Amino acid sequence: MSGRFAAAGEVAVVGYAHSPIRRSHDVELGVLTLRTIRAAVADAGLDIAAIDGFTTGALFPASSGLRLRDGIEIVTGDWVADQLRIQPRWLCGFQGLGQICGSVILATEAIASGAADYVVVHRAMYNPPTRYHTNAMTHAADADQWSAPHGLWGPPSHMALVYTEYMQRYGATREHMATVVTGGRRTGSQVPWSHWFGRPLERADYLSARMIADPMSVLDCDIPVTGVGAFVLTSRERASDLPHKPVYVAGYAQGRSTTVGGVGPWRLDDVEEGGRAVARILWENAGFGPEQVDVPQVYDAFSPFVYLWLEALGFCDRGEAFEYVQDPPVSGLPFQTGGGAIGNGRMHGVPQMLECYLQLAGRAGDRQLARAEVGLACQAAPSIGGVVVYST
Amino acid sequence: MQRCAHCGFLTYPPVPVCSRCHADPPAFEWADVSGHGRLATWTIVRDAFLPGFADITPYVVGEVELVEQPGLRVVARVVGIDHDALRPGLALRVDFVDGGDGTRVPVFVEAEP
Repeated sequence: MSGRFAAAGEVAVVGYAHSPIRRSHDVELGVLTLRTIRAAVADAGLDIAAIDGFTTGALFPASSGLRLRDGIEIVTGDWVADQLRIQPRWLCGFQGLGQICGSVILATEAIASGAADYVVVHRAMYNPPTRYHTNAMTHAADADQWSAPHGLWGPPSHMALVYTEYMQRYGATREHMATVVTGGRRTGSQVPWSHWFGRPLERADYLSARMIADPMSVLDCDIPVTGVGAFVLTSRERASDLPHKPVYVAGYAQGRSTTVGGVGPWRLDDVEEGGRAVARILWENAGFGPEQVDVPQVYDAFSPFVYLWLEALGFCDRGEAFEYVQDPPVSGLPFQTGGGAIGNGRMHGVPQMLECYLQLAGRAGDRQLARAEVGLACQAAPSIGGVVVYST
Repeated sequence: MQRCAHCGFLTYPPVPVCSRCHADPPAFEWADVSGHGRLATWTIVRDAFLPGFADITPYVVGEVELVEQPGLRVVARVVGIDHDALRPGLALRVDFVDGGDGTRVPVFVEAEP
């Protein structure tokens, strides 16, 4: 496994913590974040004073126009460092899409370069008491003017346009997707901190779910939640002194949109073409391919992302993922053992990364796979998101 | 429709630099288009997130590929067509409806054969 990524195996995840995932909490998001970060640092066997780097992507992904206050609706690394009274050696906010992947990439580069020794990567997600995407606008301007006057608003309806095109082109149906959604909910129901803990989903309940924007039902969207995930990363050398088995960053890639005009954030052709470009960079960096991955955790905030990522990354061919997930040909390749976003709640890529960490560190408990040496976690759309591979 | 004065490429929505030739300095003009296109993809909105749209649910929003250029898609409601009759490639033509405050909003209807 020798790719062009020279820092492969040089930076490790050495600890984590996850808050309970709930529709709401009785403390502000900032407080929940600080508790979770302190727990992650303790899990790594470190004192909070050792932390000298912070990063996150603080994007709040709702279309409601909600006011965003640091420590309440969002939590930045700056806010965390200030609250912990740490003057960080390194502090960086990720501005792109695929926030947890992007943050891990920044942290890896900071540690590999020597800019920081121990970095906390966190992601804090907030579920507002108001509806997530309902917006009271009565006049549309700027980018909104191309969609809002037509009644097209919010990511689910944009995803519906992509999903319709996929279904029409390849012959996928909601019956096919029932396997993905019930599968995510089945594994998610075994994750103690999950919103859906103890609550798997029957196929019939998926198929009769309330439709938001055909072919997207409410159950094709991850449920909005409040929750925090936090990880501690450090160098290979420092990791060897810490209590848990290190899980190394083995390579990564980030996308950019290849859109040549268009109203929405995604178009099927662009997602497919851009996603394959991202995958080429990933596998070239990592020095291996999808056949090496034991723990592929593909992004599923909207269920069609599962198909799009599996195809883009090369786990199956274009237009075949909806059949592939029914009976994965690579010896039952487990692409959703952590439950994903569908099985945990809207944690924006945290479930994917966390499952890679837990499985590769041998800490997945009842869900532990017999073989877990290489993991893959991705987030957002293949064309514009991020993907990180991990190794033992 | 925004058209690059250098290479003739049409772009929707408008962009600051031509997506095809990337000419510097950019130069654009407004071009009339026929209003004819084909349905590329669609959604049937049942839960509207904006004021004024809850009253007309369910409604269809489509991406319509205009005949003038491959891949040139506009977003608009598709009206007067049974949901079961929606299919990729359906021939459509533009119409305009009242958008309030003196605005006219394009929608697409089935084109006459």
